[in-house]
Amino acid sequence: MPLAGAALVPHGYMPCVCPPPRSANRTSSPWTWLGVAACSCAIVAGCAAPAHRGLTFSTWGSIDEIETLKPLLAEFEKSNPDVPVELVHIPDEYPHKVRLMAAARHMPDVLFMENQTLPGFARRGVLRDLGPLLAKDAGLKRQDFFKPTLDALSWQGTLYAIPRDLSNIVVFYNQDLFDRDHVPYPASGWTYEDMVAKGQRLTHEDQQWGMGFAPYPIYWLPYLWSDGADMLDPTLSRCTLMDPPALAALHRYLDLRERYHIAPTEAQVGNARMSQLFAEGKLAMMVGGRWVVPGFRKKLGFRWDVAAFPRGKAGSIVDADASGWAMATTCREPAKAWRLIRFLAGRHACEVFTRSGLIVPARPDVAHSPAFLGGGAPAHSRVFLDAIATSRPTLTPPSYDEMVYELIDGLPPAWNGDRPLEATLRPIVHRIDALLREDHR
Amino acid sequence: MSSPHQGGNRSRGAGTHPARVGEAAWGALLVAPAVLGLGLLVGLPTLGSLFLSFTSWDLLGLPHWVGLSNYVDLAGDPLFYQVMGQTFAFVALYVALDLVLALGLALALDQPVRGRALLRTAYFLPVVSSMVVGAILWSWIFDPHTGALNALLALVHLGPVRWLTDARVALPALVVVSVWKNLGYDMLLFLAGLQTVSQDQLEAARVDGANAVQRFRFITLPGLGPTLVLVGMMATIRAFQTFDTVYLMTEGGPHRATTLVGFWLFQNAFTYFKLGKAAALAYVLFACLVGLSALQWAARRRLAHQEGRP
Repeated sequence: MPLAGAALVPHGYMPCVCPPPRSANRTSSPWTWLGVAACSCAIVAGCAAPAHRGLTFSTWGSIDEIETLKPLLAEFEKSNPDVPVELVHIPDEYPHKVRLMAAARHMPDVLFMENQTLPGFARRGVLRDLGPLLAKDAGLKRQDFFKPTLDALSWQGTLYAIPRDLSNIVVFYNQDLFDRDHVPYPASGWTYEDMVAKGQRLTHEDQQWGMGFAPYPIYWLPYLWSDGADMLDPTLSRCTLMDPPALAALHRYLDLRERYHIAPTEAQVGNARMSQLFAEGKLAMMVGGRWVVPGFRKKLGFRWDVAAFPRGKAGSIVDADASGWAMATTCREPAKAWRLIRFLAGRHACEVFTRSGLIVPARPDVAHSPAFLGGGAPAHSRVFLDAIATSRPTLTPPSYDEMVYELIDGLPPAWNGDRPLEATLRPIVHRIDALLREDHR
Repeated sequence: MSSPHQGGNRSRGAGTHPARVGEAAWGALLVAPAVLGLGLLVGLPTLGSLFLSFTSWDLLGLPHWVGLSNYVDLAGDPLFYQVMGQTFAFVALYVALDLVLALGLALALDQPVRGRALLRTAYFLPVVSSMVVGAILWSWIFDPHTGALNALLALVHLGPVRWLTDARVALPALVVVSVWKNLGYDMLLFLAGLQTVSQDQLEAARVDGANAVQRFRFITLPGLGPTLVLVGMMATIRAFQTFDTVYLMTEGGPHRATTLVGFWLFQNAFTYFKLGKAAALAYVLFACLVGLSALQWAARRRLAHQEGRP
């Protein structure tokens, strides 16, 4: 029987360009090749499909932080051989990449989360309510954690993450510079005016400055809160930065540069970070969080300590942000995921994280132990704990990232003294109001 | 026997003839990978983003239909007009500078000068270099305190200029970087175009006493017409799509002065997770590109017509 291709070619016909369909070899049929291609695709797709390896667990963090975490995970796997854990380390743009993973239906089972991005995930129902699991647990209780950390990791009254740490702002100061200029160290209950007075004595023109100045909201918000002002109204529907109390507080922050000249300007130090200037011994005081401590312990060649943020009209009020362990609603093994979470949130793991110096532990039992209060500088680590009583979580509407971008990008003309604060702020406030209206739609 | 329907029968017969069927199948098979690739990687995402532009979606959960809201929001957003204005200004500056410099370089390097090959390679190097490396290099050059540019200005008692943090100069600074990056490529296209200019006409003009400017104006430039339109069109599209330079050097600042439409689109999609708004913005950008390309295409046809070409 003649083969199809050969039989169908009329005698004397020879296509000029296309290959002649005359081969006697059956494999050259287009349909055969299509079949081969389809099978190849299927095989490749099969190879590319990730094999299930137990729980997936995502986190951000530096290499040092991951090196702290890995032995803990190994320890967990040893005592829970039925729960292998696949670590997904996302060092940069963590919330963005987790969202993309969620969109691709590859949400990790257990996620490290912080309170500023948590509402965005919680409101979309991708995180599991951990309240019932915590209530049922025999070894872990709500009382094991500082209340502000539980509040920070809750959204609309539901707990979505079990806290690991609390993040707040204190003042770091260079004791050697204070001693050299015969300035007393900051005392408990010191005020903004005390800080300015000390800063003036510690400032030496173009060589050394009394206080740091950074454009990021996290560093200037405590000035507002401590003066009884805020950036947003409690319903998250209006930006209040143009209200008189907030404007006055922002002016007090700007005064550090413009009026008292105790904070370096961009013209003086360029884009140098405050922690860098502090490490170089050019800054006597800077505002910062616990996250700088491991680096300072390694690098600083002078004596240093921490003090509470100076009191304003309303007291010393800083942020009470928190990070913790959350579980995705897509997790197919919630019981196993909870075992991992309770291990990571337990006292032993918390102590390991705390000894690295990086965190203020969310557990009071660890916070009041040598794991946090001992172990090297700063001598007065208790300051981080004392601040908790009056601290508050940052208000984070859905458009928080965009809002922060507008502030960081828009305010420099005011911070640099190129434009008046009010004129700089007005369009930014309008923009933020529009974003908040969009959030409410 | 012939019949009035013979032609129709023949054509129908040709369409269904088994040999033609086999040929068509082979043809379909050969173009299938390209069609499949284009369909999957271009067609589907294009249609998908059109659908997204009518929805609100933050990557979590499902998109929900909002009709024309994203387009209406864009139309009512002052930042949209600022971004579009800046983008058009960037495109105009970029295309003008790129065309003039690329053509000038091509004319210079078309001459029999020593080290011509080396110079051509040198000007082409940025094209094959990583934009990340280029951005770091230019950030150093633009540094207000330690940068080479301000050091040069200081020699003539000018500056210092905050190249990337002063809203008045940041956008032109980015234009310079973008032109530097792609100049070599456009120069090559012009060099290729110059090889098509009739040497006989140039020689005849020279014999007739035409000077260099006249030869350029009346022979070289008209001869380069199609190349000029092609390079202009590609430069325009490239300028509209500018993203990496902004992302790496200014992040859209200061004061949104360098936020171009490509960067704002990225921010909306992957920083603020407003996928619907980003998709709507993509279609506005698409409409701009189609409009401008149509204009340039019309210009090309006119030029071709003037040259007596079909």
